[in-house]
Amino acid sequence: MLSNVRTSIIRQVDYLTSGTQLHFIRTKRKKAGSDKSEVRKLVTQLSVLSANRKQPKLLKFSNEDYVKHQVIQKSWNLYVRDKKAEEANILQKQYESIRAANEDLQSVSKELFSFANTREPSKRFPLELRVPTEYPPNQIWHHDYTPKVEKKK
Amino acid sequence: MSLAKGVWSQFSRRSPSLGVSSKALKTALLSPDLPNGPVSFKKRSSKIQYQSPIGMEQVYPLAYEMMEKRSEQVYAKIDQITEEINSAEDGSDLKIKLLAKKDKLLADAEKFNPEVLYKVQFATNSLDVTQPVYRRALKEKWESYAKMLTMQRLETLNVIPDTLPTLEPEVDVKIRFAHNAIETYVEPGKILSSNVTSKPPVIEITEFEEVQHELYTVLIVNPDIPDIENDTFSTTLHWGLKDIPLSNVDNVIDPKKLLEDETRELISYLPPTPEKNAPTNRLAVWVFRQNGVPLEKVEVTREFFNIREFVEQNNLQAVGAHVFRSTWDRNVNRVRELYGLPKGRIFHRVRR
Repeated sequence: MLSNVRTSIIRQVDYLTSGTQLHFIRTKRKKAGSDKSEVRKLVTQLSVLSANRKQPKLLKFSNEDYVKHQVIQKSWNLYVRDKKAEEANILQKQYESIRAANEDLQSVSKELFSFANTREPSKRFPLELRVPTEYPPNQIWHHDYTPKVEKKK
Repeated sequence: MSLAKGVWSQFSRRSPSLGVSSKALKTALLSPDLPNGPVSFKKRSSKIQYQSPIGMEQVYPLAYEMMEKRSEQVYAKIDQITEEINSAEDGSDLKIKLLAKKDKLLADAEKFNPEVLYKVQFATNSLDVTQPVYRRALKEKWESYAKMLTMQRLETLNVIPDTLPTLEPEVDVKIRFAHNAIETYVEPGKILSSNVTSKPPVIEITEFEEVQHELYTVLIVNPDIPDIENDTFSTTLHWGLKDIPLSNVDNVIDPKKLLEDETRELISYLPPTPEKNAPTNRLAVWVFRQNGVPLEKVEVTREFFNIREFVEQNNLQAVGAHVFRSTWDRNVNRVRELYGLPKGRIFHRVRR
């Protein structure tokens, strides 16, 4: 009487790494290739396990919970869809208003319009300027960066 | 504590079949958690052992509220359309279009109602076919398997085009022979014992659109009767029924329905009695919708029956079909005796 659902959200990693004492915790980034032996060990272990066991664990639902799960899934999908549609709508409106403003400018002053729309192929996006993100890093930039001076032998 | 506070809890304007009748099940579906454990589990130990997924208790009420609100919006739209329907002329194209739209919206409004979802998936035996949402669920189920299977059998067994050129299936046709107490439907293309087919079948025709009083014609034809004189095979009409009134709820053609009006039987049932060593006989069941027009002055011949001519003359539209097969077995002679038929022929490798 159980209804099974395979989720992509829940990832079971602990049973894969239980033998190696590996913990997946977000810490300071290590240098690439520093823990070569452990990685190799993990790869070997994964290659031994069957593909079936590497898949996310099945959620076993009773019929009532399966129905609830479907309602939740549907409502979440609709929620995300609506949100995306709203964002797209706002972007569309922004674009339209920029376009209208540009057309106004063109009718008012051709000189300013051409000045505003000249291409500047040599000009690049300044590297110092960060693109604003929702999750900025703790250290924004390396303010005290000095390039390494190679020692002459 | 029940979650239902809006439109899904009101049964004054909605059919009571849109909710589950069991009180325990209703509580389970309309509570954030399962207060008395899962109802679908029979054993007490399994009930105790079962745990709902983490977080469902918190998320489900929000999801339910959201879906119910959406349903309310759809119902508001339905109210508008109902007003438009009332003002539209009877039988006009606009009215037909609006009615179809209303049916679609009614199905949409209830699609993610947990009670309906539960019934559609776990209580399929007792679905109320007057409700658009259940009809749509049945249609989806039929299209996912039975429809494809029927078409495959009709095509691989060459029922299409040996009897009629083609078919665009609109209805689900199920047949059942009353040879034993177990009610099982015949899988399309199955070879049945002549003992089984000795009595006429019960035919179930499931329509997925709303049907109030529609008339149907049913023909069972066998295109595999050896015709030695012309060195070919001929078609025999085994059973012919006409003007059978059916609706969504009353959708079974059984002896009771045929006894109501004896003119409904065009030609009486003749069981398949294949000849020994002749090829397996295919018996094609064709269902036609008459679009409300009764057939008048129809005459049919049992042997050398031309089904294509019959369909053309009576302006019939094939909406569904089924096929079963019959081959010579040791019951054939008994069936022949039962119906007073002459002794069967025996065919040989070299024609004698």
